[in-house]
Amino acid sequence: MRRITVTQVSKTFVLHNQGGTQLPVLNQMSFHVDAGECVVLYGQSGCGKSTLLKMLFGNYLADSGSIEIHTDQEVVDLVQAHPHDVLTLRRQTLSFVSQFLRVIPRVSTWDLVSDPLKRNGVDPSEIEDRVTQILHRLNLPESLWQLAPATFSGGEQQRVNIARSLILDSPIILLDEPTASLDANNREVVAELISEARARGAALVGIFHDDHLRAQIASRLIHLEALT
Amino acid sequence: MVDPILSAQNLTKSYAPEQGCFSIALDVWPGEVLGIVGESGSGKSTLLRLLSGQEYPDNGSIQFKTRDHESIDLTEATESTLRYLGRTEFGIIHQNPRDGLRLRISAGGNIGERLMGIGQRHYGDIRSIASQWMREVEIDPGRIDDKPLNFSGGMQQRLQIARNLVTNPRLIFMDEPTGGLDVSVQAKLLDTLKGLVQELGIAVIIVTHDMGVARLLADRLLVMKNGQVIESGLTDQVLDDPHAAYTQQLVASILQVN
Repeated sequence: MRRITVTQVSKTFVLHNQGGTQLPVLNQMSFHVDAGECVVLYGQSGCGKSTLLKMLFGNYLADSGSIEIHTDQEVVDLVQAHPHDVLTLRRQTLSFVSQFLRVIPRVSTWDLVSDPLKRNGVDPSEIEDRVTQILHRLNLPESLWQLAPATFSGGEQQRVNIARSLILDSPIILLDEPTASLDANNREVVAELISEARARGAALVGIFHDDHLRAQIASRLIHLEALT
Repeated sequence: MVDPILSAQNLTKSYAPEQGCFSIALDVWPGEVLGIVGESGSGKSTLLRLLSGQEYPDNGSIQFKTRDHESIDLTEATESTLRYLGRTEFGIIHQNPRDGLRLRISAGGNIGERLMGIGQRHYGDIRSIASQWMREVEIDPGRIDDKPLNFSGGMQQRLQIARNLVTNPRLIFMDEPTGGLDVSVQAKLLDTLKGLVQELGIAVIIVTHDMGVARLLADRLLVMKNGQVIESGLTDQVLDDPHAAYTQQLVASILQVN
């Protein structure tokens, strides 16, 4: 089943405060991703991998073309969609694992990770089970669960981030170097979680600098070349 | 999609060229937080006063849907209708809590007054609801008989929020609600606000010049300059991929803490 269809997408950053400098990043790019695939974007630094991934989440806008997200019910073009439709997609269909955790101060790890389930009206006892399970799998000690992650180590924060994004079992998962600050053991856990997501039919698109991990999880590679 | 709770068209209020608001159109949906950002003098506070019926525009319309599904044009409503809406449908949280509180009556009285305004008469009920709301905004209910004059700025601001939320408003207007507060107090207040807004499903229009506040609270953003909306969209999209020159400048001037 088709999950993402990108058609003729272009993106140029215009830096108005730096003399109107134009930075073309993507030119007429097209590809698609099906359920059960793990597509890895690769290419040298600055070639637009992160930009493309952020466009698939509606975080960056495309200048032209279309980015169609296929939910179980409908097809939504992120380039034309109203912000509300993008928010609905993010709640139910699209998950993004970023490199950094950006959250409200004071909110505990438990609340952060359970929030996506609460917003989707999942039953409290099921929330309890699923949060407990994913925090254990990502080796986050119980002593941290009631604490806010602001003071955690980089690797711990990153695992909270992964738990929060993967807990929903979304049909589409976008990963921007999710293992950058993890040790080998936890990297292996993330690789397993990714394989399981694929096995249940999720479509994944990611950026992974770790060659070993990339070879282990990618079902297809898309090579991007810098335009400038 | 459901209908907007508030829908403004062609809204104009001119004090001088580029001073005020010019041809503003916007919609606010139930349960969403709309942020209005821009520098001082960009017209954001004027816009908020127009939208909340505190001032009449020179031109334009503002359709508001009441809880009885009645549509009222705020620009044509009488002052008594606007006062009624202010008590039953709106909450207004001022930048300076002194403008939104009565400092010389007790904290409980400040909350209770709003309840009496919508017809509550039972003293015991009012008092118990007031202390429940103090707990909700993390003020010790033991201070229910103290005057807010003696509260810290952060506590006054939280009391103002309780005073506004107690009547179950459907639309809240906030003008720089964390303006005069310490950063640590701000975080706590923002956290409280975000929790309450999500829990109660109310719509919020918040004016701020603090991009951190906007990012934490707002679902969508409008960027204003010289009385006009120059950019709008999803909050993270506007802040991470700003298109207008002014928005790029605004985002580039945020101090990076992390």
